[in-house]
Amino acid sequence: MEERPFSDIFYKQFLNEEKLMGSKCKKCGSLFLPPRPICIKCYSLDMEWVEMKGTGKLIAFTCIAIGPPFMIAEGYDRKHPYCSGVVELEEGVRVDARIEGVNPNKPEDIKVGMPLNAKFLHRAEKEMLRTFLAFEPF
Amino acid sequence: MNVTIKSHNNARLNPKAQFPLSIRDIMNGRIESAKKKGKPVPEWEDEKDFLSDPRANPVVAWPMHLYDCCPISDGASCMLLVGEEIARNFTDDPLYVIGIGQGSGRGLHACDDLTYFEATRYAAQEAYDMSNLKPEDIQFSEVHDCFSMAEIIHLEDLGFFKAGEGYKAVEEGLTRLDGPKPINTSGGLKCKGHPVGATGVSQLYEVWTQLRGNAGKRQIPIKDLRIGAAHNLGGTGGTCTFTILERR
Repeated sequence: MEERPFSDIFYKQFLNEEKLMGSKCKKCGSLFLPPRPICIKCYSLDMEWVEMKGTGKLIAFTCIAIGPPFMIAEGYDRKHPYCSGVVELEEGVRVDARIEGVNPNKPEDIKVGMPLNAKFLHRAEKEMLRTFLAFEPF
Repeated sequence: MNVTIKSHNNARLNPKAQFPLSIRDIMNGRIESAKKKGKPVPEWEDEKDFLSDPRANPVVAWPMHLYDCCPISDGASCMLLVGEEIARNFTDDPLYVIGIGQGSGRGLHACDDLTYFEATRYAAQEAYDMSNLKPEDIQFSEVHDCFSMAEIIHLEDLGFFKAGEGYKAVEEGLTRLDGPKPINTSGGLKCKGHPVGATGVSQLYEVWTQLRGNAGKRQIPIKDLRIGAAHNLGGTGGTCTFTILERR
């Protein structure tokens, strides 16, 4: 049984381990990603960690040309936009993530509904390690 | 595009707006500047032609372009809020808060539908219930147009127009200053500016100015202007307020 608290810190720790983990209400079965410690459907505190398979489909997206400083630092700009989207997982929950393996210069070619697989983007190493959730077509 | 053109037309008449210029003013300014510098003069037919040109209106986050996005501004606003029984100690002409609502919603990624804001719908219902008013009773409103499409979605969520028909209303000019339901007469967040923490009160300041008949050139030409409202939003739609003011 996974005993880590249901918080963003541990959600990110799981991402570092290449696990996409959400929380599930033991009372009503509602699923939350990122995890919530309290069920917003039935207000139960009885939650458990569940691992997502990492497959889903694209629900909405945007291609960002003017990004925040940390994305500019990664080399994205007007000529090199990046794609960000909402993915509905097979388990039914939705999560926002970077969308890779598509051409952000041609948003008209990116299709809502396209099947996607999770991918973990590691930045820095050791105790500085940060992992971002991304998806790409398969 | 229609939202942007309308908001800029209103801001042109608002001396306190961050961008007190119509899209046509901006377009003509660009043409003049090109002529002066001896550069090739762009040939835009009208405002929509200008807004369709990626050199004039580049993408920020597709499909949102520069003129769809509000700025992040510096600004301040304040208001004096007192109990009804002592209001006349301060002014002979107080306005009354007759309805106020607050709603919460989920993060955008967790919404079951991206074409409405549940927080706006909750807040609006609460304020309508408190004031015993219906959307058609609100004569004009400021709404949180952080992006042009947000204005259209909120017009529908507040019940001013049917879901899916907000864009038509804007296209037909119903939300213009001289239309039946003027929206964002200040120029909105897009043109009046968006000093985030001061935005909500600045919206109510606009409603106050209009209800008192002090809006000058941008005064709404509706006789017996009595009821106005302001709708504000926080985060990506996670929290919302709707406030209805009345002049008695």
